[in-house]
Amino acid sequence: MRIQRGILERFSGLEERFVGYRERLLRRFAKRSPAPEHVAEVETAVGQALAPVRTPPDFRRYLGQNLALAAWRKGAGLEVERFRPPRFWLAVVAISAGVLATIATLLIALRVRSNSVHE
Amino acid sequence: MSDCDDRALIEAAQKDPLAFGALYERYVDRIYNYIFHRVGNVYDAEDLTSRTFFRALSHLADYQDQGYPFSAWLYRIAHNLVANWHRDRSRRPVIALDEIVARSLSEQHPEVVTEARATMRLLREIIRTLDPVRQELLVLKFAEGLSNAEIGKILGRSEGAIKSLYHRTLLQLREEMEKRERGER
Repeated sequence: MRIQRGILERFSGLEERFVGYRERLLRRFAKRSPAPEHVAEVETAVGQALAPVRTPPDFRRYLGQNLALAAWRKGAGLEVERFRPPRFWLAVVAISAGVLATIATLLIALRVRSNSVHE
Repeated sequence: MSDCDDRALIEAAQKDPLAFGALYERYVDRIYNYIFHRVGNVYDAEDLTSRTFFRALSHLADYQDQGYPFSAWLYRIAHNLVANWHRDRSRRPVIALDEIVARSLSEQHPEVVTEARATMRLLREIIRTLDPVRQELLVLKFAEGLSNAEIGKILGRSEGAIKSLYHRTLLQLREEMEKRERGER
């Protein structure tokens, strides 16, 4: 009798565990593969949240006119030259400074030499 | 709006920049719509739309037909500008569509409007937290009404990959909405 009861208790525990496991499995499965109607609901809601918007008419017209002007300038070869970045000007200043410094050094050296010759 | 028509317009615009106007008229609404949903406000949408078309005009001579629609080229320019915009501001887009939703629901009962607005706000908040590619996919799909094949050409992925990504995105949205409704975040 004791053995039978023990076996029954163990089996009832197993059954409970099996039910728990089954429920967990179902929950996980349901999470991974939701019913199509739920996905369709989300799809509809996203469609509403991202509804197409209308381009403001004034902006549309204004941009069209500006583009036409830019296109005309481009066609006529009147494109404004692209602004050179500051690095370009820095390079120009640095090279100019280098050239000036070299000339100044040469002049000083020549003057010192001529003075020493006179002495 | 066929690719053949586009090709003729592009060739005309490459020869004479004044013909670019026809391409502008054809695509301005789609590009504006796309940018608006990515940045979330009218001012930046207008600025970035202008920049997209000016850049397209100045680089049109370099455009080569590589089998992709012209719109894909324009979307790519717009996408790069929007990405730079986000990087410069280092913030997430704010989609201010409450007014539009309110207008579309204005004839309904106030409680219904309030509830719908709250749902839309929650959904837009969640969309803003998505990966940029997923956000772009949703905008192209819903705001632009493009097919998976067209989106694939723009995003440089196969049609199947887009279909799969789209499904995963919807599942992620659903899961996030459930989490928020349960108050987990």
